[in-house]
Amino acid sequence: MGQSFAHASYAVLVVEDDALLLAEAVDMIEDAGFIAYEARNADEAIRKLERHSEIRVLFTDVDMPGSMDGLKLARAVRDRWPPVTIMVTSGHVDVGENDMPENGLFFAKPYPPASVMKALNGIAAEIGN
Amino acid sequence: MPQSRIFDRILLKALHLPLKGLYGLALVIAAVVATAAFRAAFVTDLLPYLFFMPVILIGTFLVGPAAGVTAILLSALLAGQSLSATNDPFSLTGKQWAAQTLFSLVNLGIVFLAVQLRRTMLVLERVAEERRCALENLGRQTGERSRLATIVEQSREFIGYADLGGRVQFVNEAGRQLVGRANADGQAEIADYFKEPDRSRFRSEILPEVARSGLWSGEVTLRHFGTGEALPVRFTIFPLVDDADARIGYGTIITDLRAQKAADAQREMLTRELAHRMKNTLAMVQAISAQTLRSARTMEEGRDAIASRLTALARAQDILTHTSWEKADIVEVVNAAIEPHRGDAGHVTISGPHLDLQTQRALGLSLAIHELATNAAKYGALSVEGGRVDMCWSADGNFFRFEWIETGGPTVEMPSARGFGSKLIERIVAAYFDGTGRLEFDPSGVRFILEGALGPGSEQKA
Repeated sequence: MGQSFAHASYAVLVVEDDALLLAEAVDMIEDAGFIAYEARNADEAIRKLERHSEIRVLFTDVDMPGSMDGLKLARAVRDRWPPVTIMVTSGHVDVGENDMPENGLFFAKPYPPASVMKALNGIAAEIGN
Repeated sequence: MPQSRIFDRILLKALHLPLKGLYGLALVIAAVVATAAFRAAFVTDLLPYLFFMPVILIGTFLVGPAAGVTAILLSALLAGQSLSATNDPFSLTGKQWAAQTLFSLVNLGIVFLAVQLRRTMLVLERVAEERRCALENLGRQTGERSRLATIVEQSREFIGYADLGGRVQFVNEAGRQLVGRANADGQAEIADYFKEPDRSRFRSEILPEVARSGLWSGEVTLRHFGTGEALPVRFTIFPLVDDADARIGYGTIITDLRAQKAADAQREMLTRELAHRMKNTLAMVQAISAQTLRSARTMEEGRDAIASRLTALARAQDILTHTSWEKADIVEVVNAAIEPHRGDAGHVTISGPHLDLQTQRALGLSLAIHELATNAAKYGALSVEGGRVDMCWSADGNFFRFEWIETGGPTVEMPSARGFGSKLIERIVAAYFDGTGRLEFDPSGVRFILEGALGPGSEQKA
């Protein structure tokens, strides 16, 4: 795929406490030609963001153990890393628009891979320009 | 006095004997004639009038004045006959006529007295009867009122009333308990019991509706006078009227809905929780399917592997259902996971203490055992007679160790490609336990050693 080179220039951070879902999300993103980093909780995610400046997308679950849930993490990332695009997924039916940070994208669990891929490709195109 | 009461009762009974009219009259006549005959037979000429007097008195008392007068005339006639020298009652001397007249006058007096006595007794009887009825009625009313009062006090609903100005006059025990207010002192108004915005609503909406239709019933929020706690209730208010149907106040019945609201909230929470779990399960199914298809060589292999992995997941979920998805006993989890392979060649043993595994760990361990057992049934210790699998686990504080050891099977060769199965066993299940998973292809048999945390586990993994 010709796009792969452009894709490889930025990375996606997947934050998911369920190892099975995390493995699948990472495989899905890598198969599409992106670099994927993984984290199982918010603290780990913050450390990865500090270490890897090429991360341009945060793809996080809401329900997570630890000091922050996915929505708090999303808001923190919006404040500290404004260029990072935020994608949130959850099995909770009641994640409202008010819970989401500005310009955040929400994907209900289980999410269709195609729509996640479309969003990631859209971001890649934006960065490419 | 009991004796006089017995006499009274006999007298009253006699008053009510069925002696009215001609029947009574005939009886009185018969009594007078019989008295005259008795006198003629036994007492001869003595006391010509004396015997008739009691007959006249009793006759009048029992039958009435007409019978009395008839008895006087008949007695005078019979006495006259006995006095007369010729047996002709009308042929009498002057003295005898005077006696007859005197007798008749005296007895008319007796008749008058007897009639008065009769009337008085009847009046007294009626008064006594009315009094008895009144007392009985009063007793009934008092009883009814005290029963109603008991019901109001014992009721678990808030029951109270207020005057037309809305000042609360009475609140029952349940009501006082609900709002934490010792007693209705006539100072508080109904509106004071409400929390805003229902307080303004009471004046603007509820009272006008009561005036219009005579009833308002709905859910509102009251306040606890002590703590200010919001009290969700069903509030019913209606006008109280007097005997002339004029409105004199308001009655109210209030049902505490706190328990019901809490149950509703609990149910809603459970429903949401269930929906969430369902979504999570579907996400797991999606991940298992996608991961399986990624490493499947053929469509058939992929289909079979997905089906058997989902079956393993379902078996583990069955165990969790019994414990409301909180935790599962590891012995049950291991047994359920190995159950489909009990009939295979080879022998399975398990040993380890009862331990609670939280949801994800229980599901993960089930999937791991399923993978190991499927592999052992195809190529390992469960594929031959004499092969054996020993599963054992232990816990030391929060540290958990699980081992799967195959012996007596065919010589193990290192697999050429690692599929989702080994990824699941080594990485995913290990991550569920916040630890490590080691899959060893020792020539004498496959070994799997899982080491990790049993409790909440450390989230500070690098």
